[in-house]
Amino acid sequence: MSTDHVPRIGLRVEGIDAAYDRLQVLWDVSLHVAPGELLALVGSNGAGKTTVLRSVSGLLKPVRGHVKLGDTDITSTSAEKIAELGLAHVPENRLVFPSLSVEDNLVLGGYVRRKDGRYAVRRDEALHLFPRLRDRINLLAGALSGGEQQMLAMARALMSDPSVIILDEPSLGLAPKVVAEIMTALAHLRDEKGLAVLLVEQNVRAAFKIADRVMVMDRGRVVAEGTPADLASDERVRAAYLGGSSTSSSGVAAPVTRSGGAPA
Amino acid sequence: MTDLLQLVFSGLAQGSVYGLVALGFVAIFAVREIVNLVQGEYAALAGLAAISAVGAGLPLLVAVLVVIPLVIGVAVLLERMTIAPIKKMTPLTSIILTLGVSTAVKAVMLLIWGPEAKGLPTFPGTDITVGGVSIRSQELWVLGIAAVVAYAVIWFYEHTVRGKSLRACAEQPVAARLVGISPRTATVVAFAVAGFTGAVAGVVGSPIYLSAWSSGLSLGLKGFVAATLGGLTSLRVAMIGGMLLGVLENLVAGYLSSGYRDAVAFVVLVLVLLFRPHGLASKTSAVRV
Amino acid sequence: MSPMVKRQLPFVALAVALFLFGGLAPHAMVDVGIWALIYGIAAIGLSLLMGLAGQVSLGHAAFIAVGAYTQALLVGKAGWNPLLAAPVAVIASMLVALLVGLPLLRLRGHFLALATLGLGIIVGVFVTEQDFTGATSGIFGLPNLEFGGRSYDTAQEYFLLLTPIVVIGLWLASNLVHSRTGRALSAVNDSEVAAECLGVDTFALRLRVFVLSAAYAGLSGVFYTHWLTIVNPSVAHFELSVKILLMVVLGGLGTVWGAVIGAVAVQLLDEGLRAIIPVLIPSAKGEIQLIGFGVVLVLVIILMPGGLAQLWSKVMSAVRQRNHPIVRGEHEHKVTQEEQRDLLEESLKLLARAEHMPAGQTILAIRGLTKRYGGVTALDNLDLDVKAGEIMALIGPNGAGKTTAFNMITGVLPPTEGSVVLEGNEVAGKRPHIAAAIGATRTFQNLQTFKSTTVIGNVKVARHLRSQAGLIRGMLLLDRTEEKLIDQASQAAIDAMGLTSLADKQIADLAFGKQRQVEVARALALEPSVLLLDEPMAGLSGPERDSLSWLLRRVKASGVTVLLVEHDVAAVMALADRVAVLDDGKLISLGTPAQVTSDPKVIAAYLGEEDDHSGGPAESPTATAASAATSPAAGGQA
Repeated sequence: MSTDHVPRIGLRVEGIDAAYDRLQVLWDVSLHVAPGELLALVGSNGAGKTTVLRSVSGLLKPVRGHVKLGDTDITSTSAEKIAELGLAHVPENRLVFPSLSVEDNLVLGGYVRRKDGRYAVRRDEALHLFPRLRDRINLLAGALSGGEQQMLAMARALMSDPSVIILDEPSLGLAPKVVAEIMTALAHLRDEKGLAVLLVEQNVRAAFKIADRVMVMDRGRVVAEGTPADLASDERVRAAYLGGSSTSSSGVAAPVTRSGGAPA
Repeated sequence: MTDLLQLVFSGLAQGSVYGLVALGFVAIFAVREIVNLVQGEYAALAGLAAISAVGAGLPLLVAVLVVIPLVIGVAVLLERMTIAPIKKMTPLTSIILTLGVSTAVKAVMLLIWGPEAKGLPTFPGTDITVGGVSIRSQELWVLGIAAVVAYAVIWFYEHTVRGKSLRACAEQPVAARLVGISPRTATVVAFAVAGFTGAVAGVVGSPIYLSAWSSGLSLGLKGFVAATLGGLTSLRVAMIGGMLLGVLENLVAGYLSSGYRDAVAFVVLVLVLLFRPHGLASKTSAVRV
Repeated sequence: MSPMVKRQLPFVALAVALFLFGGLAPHAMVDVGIWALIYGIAAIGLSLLMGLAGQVSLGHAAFIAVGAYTQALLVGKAGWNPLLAAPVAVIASMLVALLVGLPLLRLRGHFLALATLGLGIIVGVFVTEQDFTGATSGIFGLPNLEFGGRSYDTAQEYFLLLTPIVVIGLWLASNLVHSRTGRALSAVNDSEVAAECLGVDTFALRLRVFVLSAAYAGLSGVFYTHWLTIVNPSVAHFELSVKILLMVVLGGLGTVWGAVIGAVAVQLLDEGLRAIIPVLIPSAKGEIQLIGFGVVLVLVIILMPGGLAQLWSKVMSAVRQRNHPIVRGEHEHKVTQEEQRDLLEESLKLLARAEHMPAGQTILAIRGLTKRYGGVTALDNLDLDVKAGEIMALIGPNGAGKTTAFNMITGVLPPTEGSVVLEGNEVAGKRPHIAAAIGATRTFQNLQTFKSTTVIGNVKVARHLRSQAGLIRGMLLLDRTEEKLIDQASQAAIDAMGLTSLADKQIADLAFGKQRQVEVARALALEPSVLLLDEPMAGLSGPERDSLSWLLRRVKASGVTVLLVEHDVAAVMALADRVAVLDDGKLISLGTPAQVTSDPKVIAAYLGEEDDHSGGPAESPTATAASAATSPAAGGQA
């Protein structure tokens, strides 16, 4: 399965600040993902996870700090160029090309590699990973279900033969069975293809299950980092996930314990 | 009956010129959401430049083949100089900007070619009469070339990776960037396509409809109306819409008064926007071919 | 000196300057000045259209032509008194604008622009084709204006006649910009969806401004007629439309003063180009000054989008900074929590309304609400009754369809199927301002603040439905009492959110969490009967969340129904009377917090898998929520 012939490279983010116009949303965020590693980034809505991904893939230029893909500094590189350098970003809400066929979505996924003649090989790999797409190859992408669109978005990203793949809430709005399928595919990409995977997830349980390491964000800052086991019982994880770092006077003060009143 | 057929036929020819201009509107609007008011000027410029080239002794075919790339170059150059520097393009900005460019281009043409309307020599061929309907050979040229060009443009969007990349840019600009499609390149290609269809419209139409410094104004408006029929996103409907508009104009001119020919486009525009603001086809925001 | 009086000073200065110029300048210059003033009137109108309505007319000469021809026909052919004819001419222009604007102003700006371009062509064709308008030669031999014992036939007399007209026209336009209508339209330009959810009927206001801008153009046409004493089809020409547009753009978009400054600059440019180009290029014929218009238009947009007005304010602020170096001191008045709460109690009294629907009745009935995008069903057949006076929370994983539901309830999105009945009125598929007028408003998950104004400027927009002053009252400054009430109520809403010290700050300078709070204050200022909040807690600190929870309970106590989308499940459980849980577009559970947290379907949705309690390291939010909801401490503050 593994057809690597290029050495895989990792991703490193060094102390970035980011802002939309005058509104600063990230403060001093650093992270790194090695080839064959999966880092999960969790936190409540508005914590800045999507902004981290946008800063990494060149959609937003950080106002401070550096982003490095392998040894290459890509802080000021355009999104198009970053895609060519081997980083694939699977955006929030999938953003497939709805009026193009599944096949054409894959063709455009390989846009930056369109001249290397390996389209058929990569297409086979992608469809092997997501066999459901094979039956729908001639349908318009807009006609696919949410889960299929997510798979297509990921397959499209893989068509550029990336070293690093970053994903924004791939489980969004999907049934548990489909989420499981997607997580399995991610594990495969990490283990078999040696990709560096940066995963932003709201579905904390699913993310913790497959992540090698986890980072927690709250209001634009990284507040905790560690292995899933380390962080499982960490107050900050729960607080950040639920939002707010409330003190004991607030309504979200109940301590987290594995048996902490699970109602089932 | 013969009158009617006559009006319909010459309307189709005239309308396919509008259709070609409309293709340019769609090509640019789809990628950048800009209504490019310079569109009519490409045609006027191509017609006038070809007339000068023929006047300078070039054979007609050579003149046409020189002028079309020239106009494409002008279209792209003007985009680089005026559209590209703008960081935050709003509809208001784009309209003012392209109006400014079109006004300046008009005035340059006035300076170079003067105020009189001129015509390119007709393309080779003889006029024929079929069932009482007299058909000018130039009209056949217009129809034929418009059909080939429209087909080629649609084929480009449907079957080439570059064409598909433009459609991707149109419907999901962010995702398009993430797969490596540069919006800058896409914009340049879109303006090149628009320059191409505009230039073709200008050279094939010039022998019948003449070219003048100011002819881009109403030609542009009519092309826009045709493009609106396709919701500004459908190439096919824009082309067909242009032809329908041409026929309708001819019928109004033939049966009512020739003075009101130019009013037809405006009335059609208002009616379409009133009843089918997303165009005659189904409503989506993506470019459809 | 009161700020209101201070605002009138520039108009007095302009009037004095114009009178001096008219009286003292040489004849040739006054002649140029007359044209600047005549076209300046039209430019003021176009500036309103572009600055307030965010739309552009590329055929503004058409409205000048309608005014000019109507005046010429009534005076020249029908023998009317010019002073009687003038209002009719202006109304004729307004009627044409009404007919064009009705179908087109609902659409994006491109369409009005191109349609008005077409209108210019049509008006030209029409007057050329008709005998009664004199065909190509037009109507000539019109009388000079004569009234009040004076004859306005010399350049000086005419200039002095025009001066008060222009100054008053500018004053009215400037008042409009600062009125309720101007505020609402400026909000629309910042965020159309937010303005409409606060009850602003974008289309109706834009239409009014468009018609008003045609009135200015018509008036310009009247003065055109009497100065030239001849009207022919060239008045409708594209060249004049470009010229008027250039006046607005060069002067500065977004300020009506720019239109007058631009008018003078463009008229000078026009005269200059006509003189210079034939010298440089002897063969040049026709409207060659257009080249200058085109180039200047492009250069202004690229290099100086704010026009001469922007240049002016830059110079002024540079001068001011040199003279008075500004010391920025933070006057953060520290208020204790008790003082804050007292303030809130006071301000909430202002917001409480008597006429809320009795508690317990169904205030919002949702039936079969569905939204599909291609193959994706974002919301599937939602049935939900919300009772008056309750706090209902809508929870579920990201992508479950909560915001989609909000968007359809508030009219931001039309549903694919289904109905939304708000206080007995069907609102599904209608524009957001309809729901707002009935009493439902909202906040947004992705900030939708009005970025070009201050905190209080944002909140004042929400008083749109609680005030009435229309175009005319606003223009004549008859809205002062009402404006004071708007200020007071807006301040009260700001106080209620504890934002008192930030009221005059530019909203764009605030942190994310503060901007979110401003959105809540803004929604409260509308005095809604149903308040929809989309993740109001996101981005807020712990104490800010506590304050918001406390505030929402007070809001509920005053009879307001609250519908809440929130990810802070614990806060939700402590706050809500009932909770509806969405997953994958479907309603999977509905009940009290306790009922919902013990519903196995909810647990499955949040855990992501059924019955998997061994593998996952992270605690489920539901479990946490349950513990929070059952904990005696939960929500027990305040």
